[in-house]
Amino acid sequence: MTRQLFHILVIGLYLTIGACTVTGVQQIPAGEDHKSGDTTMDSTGDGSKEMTAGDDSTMGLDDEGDLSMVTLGSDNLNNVVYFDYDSDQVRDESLPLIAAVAKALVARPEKQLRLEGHADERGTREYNLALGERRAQAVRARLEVLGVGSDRFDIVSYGEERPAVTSSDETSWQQNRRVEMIAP
Amino acid sequence: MKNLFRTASLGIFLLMQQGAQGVLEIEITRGIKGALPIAIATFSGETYVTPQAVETIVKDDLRRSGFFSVLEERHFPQIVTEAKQLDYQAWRDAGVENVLLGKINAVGSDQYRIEFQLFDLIRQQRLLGNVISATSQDVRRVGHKISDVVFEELTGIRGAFSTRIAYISTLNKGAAGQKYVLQVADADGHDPSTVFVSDKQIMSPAWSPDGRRLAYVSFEEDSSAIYIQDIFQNTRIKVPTRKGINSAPAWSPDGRFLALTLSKDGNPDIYLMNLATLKTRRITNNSAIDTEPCWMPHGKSLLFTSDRGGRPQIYEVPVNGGKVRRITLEGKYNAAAAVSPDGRFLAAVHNNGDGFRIAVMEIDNSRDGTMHVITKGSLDERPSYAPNGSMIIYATVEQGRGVLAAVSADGRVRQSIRLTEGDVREPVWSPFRQ
Repeated sequence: MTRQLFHILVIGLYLTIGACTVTGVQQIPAGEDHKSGDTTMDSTGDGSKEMTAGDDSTMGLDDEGDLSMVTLGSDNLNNVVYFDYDSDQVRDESLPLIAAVAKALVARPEKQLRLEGHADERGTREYNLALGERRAQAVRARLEVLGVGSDRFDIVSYGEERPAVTSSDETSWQQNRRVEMIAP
Repeated sequence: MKNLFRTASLGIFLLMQQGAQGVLEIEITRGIKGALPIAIATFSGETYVTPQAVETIVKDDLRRSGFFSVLEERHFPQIVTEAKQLDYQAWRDAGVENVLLGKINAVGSDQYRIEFQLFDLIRQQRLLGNVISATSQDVRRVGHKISDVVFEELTGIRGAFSTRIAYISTLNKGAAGQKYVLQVADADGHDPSTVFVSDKQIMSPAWSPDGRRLAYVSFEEDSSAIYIQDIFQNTRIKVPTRKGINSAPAWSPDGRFLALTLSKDGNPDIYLMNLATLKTRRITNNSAIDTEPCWMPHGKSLLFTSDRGGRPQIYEVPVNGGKVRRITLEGKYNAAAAVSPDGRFLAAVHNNGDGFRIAVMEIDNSRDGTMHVITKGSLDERPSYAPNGSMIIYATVEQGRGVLAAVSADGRVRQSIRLTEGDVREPVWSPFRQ
């Protein structure tokens, strides 16, 4: 009884600190398959287009503190945060993912996190290089608030120079406006 | 100073085939009213200079500049090979005020003597004449030299046809052997040569004022870093990198400083680096994105892009401190300013809701802050002025492929420069040859 209460309190704390504007964090239903493979993006871009909508809730907080579903690896493409056009605002639907990554990092103090910021091709390259960095900084800020020390980060921007998808339409552009979280 | 708007015309005789390596498609967007009509009679002679025809180069150069309308061969009133055959009145009746005659003779093994004469039909006199010796390797250079001479004689403006451009090319795009290449070519896109090739991305080339070096941004170490490469000696140095962004290099007019964007102090700002000491001094201090510094020709201030007002706009800041002044007043997005050599105009990437295009405005916006859009969009980038201010080169996308285009500074004449290789972008025009 006491243990259960403790966990509920811990979850509540995360919600308060990390997500002042969150309205949509979902409780994880018991027994649901949270395999992150459902949301795998591949370079041809025919993975799920609506990447951020709803899927990140499967990687949310776990009552038991089990980090097995949030693995930090350099080829884990699921640790991607997406952004609106010309914006560095972290969307609500990315917050569970960020919280899970924060938790994983706190549990593994030896791990550095590389945040790679990107932009879509519209606008000038130099401004987009700066915009990519700003997006990476926004993700870092969220992680720091969740307890990850500021010395744990390497921040790099590639602007529009390393797109995930190279065609020129909104679907492609959305996939390129991203920050990739990599813990090699 | 010649009156730019008197009509003069030159006609061209074509003796030889066009042997272009790139495809130069010239599009007259707004007509040529007010252009100088010219007839270029080539370049008769006992032999052909291969592979390109000198007169084709001159014709393309003058037409592309937007200052000239070139009389088509079918309208020629006569065939002329010698000056004494010239029927001044017949050409004037054809609407022409100037005729360029040329002659090429072989004078040895791969040695040619190229003679040209420019005539003023109104005054019925020869304006100038010259002889150039060249090998077949020099043909394009000679053609551009003749264009320069004719252009300056008739417009009073120094010709920029003998200058070069640098640009970035992606080869084997999307394939396993994809490479990024920094290249230098003639201003019309011909004869490209490679300065630097890499598996990783390259950005933002910038010519030194003496035309001997290129600064550029390379991601070869998986983070932005600035390199300065001497293109004649093929040596390069890496500018000491700071944490974060190291980008947007811009040479001061005296070549002693590099303006650049660094984010080491928390967010992207403009800094000045002394190239002798490599020490940096901060110029902008604002939590916004400040980037894309561009020197005013007098060297006392920089234009730059900032979103301190919410969205990217062009501002001006004195190099030695002082108030930041907003320059662009129209449009939702203005970035990547380039300044005309006389310091009066800027060209920028401009978006007011219908795509990214190149627009030009007076930097002194107190009289008129109007942005004049001179390209079609919708993904146009990186405007760069010719060193005589007459033309602007920029990057655009056609049929999914990156190409370069040149537009006369008033937007009248536009030309795609479709180079044979790769996906091309980020052009920057060299200074005059020293």
